[in-house]
Amino acid sequence: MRRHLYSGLLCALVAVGIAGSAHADSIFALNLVGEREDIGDARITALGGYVQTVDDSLGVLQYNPATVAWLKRFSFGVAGYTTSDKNKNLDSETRSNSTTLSQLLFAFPLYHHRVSAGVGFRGRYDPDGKFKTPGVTSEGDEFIDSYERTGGLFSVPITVAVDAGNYAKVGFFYALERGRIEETWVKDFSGNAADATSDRERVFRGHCIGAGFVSRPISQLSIGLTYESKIDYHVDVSERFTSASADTESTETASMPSRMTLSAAYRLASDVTVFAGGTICDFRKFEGMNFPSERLAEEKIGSLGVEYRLGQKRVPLRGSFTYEQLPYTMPDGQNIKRIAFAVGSGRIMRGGRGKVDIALQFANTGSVNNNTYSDRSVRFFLSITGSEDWKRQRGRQQ
Amino acid sequence: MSSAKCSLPSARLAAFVSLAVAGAALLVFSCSSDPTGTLGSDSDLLGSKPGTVYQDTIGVYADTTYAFDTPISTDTDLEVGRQDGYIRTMVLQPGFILSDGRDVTESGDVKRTVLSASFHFYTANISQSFPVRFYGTGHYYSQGDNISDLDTLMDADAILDPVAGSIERHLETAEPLYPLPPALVQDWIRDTTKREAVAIVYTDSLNERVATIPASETSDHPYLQVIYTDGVQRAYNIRYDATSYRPVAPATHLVVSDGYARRVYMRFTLDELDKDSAVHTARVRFHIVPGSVIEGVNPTLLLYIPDSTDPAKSDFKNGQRVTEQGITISDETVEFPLTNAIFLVLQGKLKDNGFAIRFKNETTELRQVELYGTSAPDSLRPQVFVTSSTPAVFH
Repeated sequence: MRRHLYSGLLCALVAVGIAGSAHADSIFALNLVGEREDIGDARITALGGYVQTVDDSLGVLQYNPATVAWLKRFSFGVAGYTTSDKNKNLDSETRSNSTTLSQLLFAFPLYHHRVSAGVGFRGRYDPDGKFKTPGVTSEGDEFIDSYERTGGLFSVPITVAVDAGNYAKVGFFYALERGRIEETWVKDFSGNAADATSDRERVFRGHCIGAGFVSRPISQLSIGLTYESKIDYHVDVSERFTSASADTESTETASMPSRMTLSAAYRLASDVTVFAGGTICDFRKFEGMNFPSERLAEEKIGSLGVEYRLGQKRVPLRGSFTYEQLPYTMPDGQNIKRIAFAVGSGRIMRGGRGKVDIALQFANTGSVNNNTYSDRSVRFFLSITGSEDWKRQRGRQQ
Repeated sequence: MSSAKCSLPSARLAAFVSLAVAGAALLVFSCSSDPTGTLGSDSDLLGSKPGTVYQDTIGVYADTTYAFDTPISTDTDLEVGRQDGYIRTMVLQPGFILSDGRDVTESGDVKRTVLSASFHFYTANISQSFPVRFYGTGHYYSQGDNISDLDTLMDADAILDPVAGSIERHLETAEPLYPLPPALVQDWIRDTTKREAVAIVYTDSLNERVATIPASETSDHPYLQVIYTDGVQRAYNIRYDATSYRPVAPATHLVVSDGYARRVYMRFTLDELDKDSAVHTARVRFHIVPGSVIEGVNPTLLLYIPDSTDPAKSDFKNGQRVTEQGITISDETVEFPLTNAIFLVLQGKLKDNGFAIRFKNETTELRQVELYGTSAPDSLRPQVFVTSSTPAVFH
């Protein structure tokens, strides 16, 4: 049994390694703090994202900290996705592929199946992206301005959840908020001409607290509520240029507004459950990074999902629709919308102590006509979760 | 029971179909090979914008030619004559060193009396009378010394031919002996402070020609033959010899030359450039004065940043090499790339001491090129072309 657990851990490490080369590469990731990372595992994604009320003893990777209360054994989970983005404007289009580790969590019981705790990693915003712009000098020499942004914001939440029965599961978390966003401009001349680079690196440090609540007032219905506080970042900014005389070091602050999430699940029949969820983060209160405040907007996400269990093996078939409004507008004030459809499935393994979930999401962000740019993406999600009873293992060894 | 058996394959089928669709879609999108586009975000939303590219022509000032009286002392042939605008003067410095390494003053020769003395050297390239004079230079020269005062030699400095009774001599091919006054050589042998180099100067101002004499590095090297009154005969080797090249007329343009070593020094108006700029390309272009190039064997110019701005200091002759450029007789211009040098000067990593041009492997052969300076018409003036860019702006 432990061998399988180690295999799972190995998979998690491999996923982390892959994520080291992550690159979102959506054109919309280039703005503000980047593209919001899809949270949760492949099951959550297939059901719409911020549903967060999936009562699952292997549901390690949910946004609501109260869901940790379901975990009665030592559990782990890792989730990630690979994306193919097709960015487009009136003149051209580009396609890029990327891989992202979105979430990792280890959870364990603390006290008599009533109190559980967890520590993990959760991606927040992915600012990766790049593009090239051709130029020509007054003498007719051609050059290319290449822009690339890498890094991201992430969270390390430490969660404690209490299981007070069906009527109340409550969770709290304290999270270290960290991140780094690096931007590089390269002016690339052909031939023997020297290139020039300009680089800005911003290192973010902050913390966040939050709480979640899940209740099942009736057997068919679960509801959940999550609150995440404002995050005040201390930002170290360093700018490096080809000409070192222009280098600078400075500090700034940034403030990420609080987020509220509400979700519900209702079992229509023994084989069919519908999920609904929504979240609001008022980015008009965002401060820092010198982003034009008049172009900030309220980030709104709403989703609807359904899960159907097919056959005697109860193979899950999932589908969802998600609507999202990005937290900023285009320069002329147009809102940017993202619409996503997702399908997925999963498989229970090891007698219910492990599972693999997959999801495929088709999304469209913005439109060329309204927003100058559009991004059509296809994402394949994979998550692996597992659990182990440490006490029993130790007993056998003794 | 039967329905359960039927539903199991269909469930598996549905799961695998889902997986297959996901895999196929991912494969299709991942394998796409659209060319890299120029798609970018709005610079206002981006929070930064690239630096601006400038292409400037910056000025040159303080362009000057500096001459160094450095003779060519390493060639295998010495030269006397006048040709290509240069007067060649051969300089011989007798050494009076015996075969065992002692100076002659430490031997018995110092007590002997000189009966007769002659320079012995072979001469080539002479087809007719080749008039010369031998002058006492009044200086003792060693390897690497500059040769000075050749322009101010007077008749009183000329060494008499004791046989002909005249200061006028001719180079000979049949009889390579050139008599010297015994008393003069006696003084050289007995008193080291009276030793001096002898300059052999071509005195025909009408005919341009050059005679060559094997130098001390060859087996046919020149030497001083001395016969003492007691019948002892000695041959004292020439310890140092060189050919000094001097221009017939002063140059009106910038001149880089070897033989008569001249270097061009100039400064650029670098303060016109932003020190925070990145330099993509930089080059200085000179227009060559037509017909001014004497190629020699290795006509390569070397541009460097001197360690001193004062040509009178030895540090001026040394510095940071920047680049080198070959020239030919047919060249109309010569350009030196300066990209890194100007960037590093702006950064303060190289001294802002201006730039100097000399011939590579200086003092090895006669070479020359004349360049138009800042006093020339606009179209011929030296120009520095710089492509630079300001740093990107991060809001």
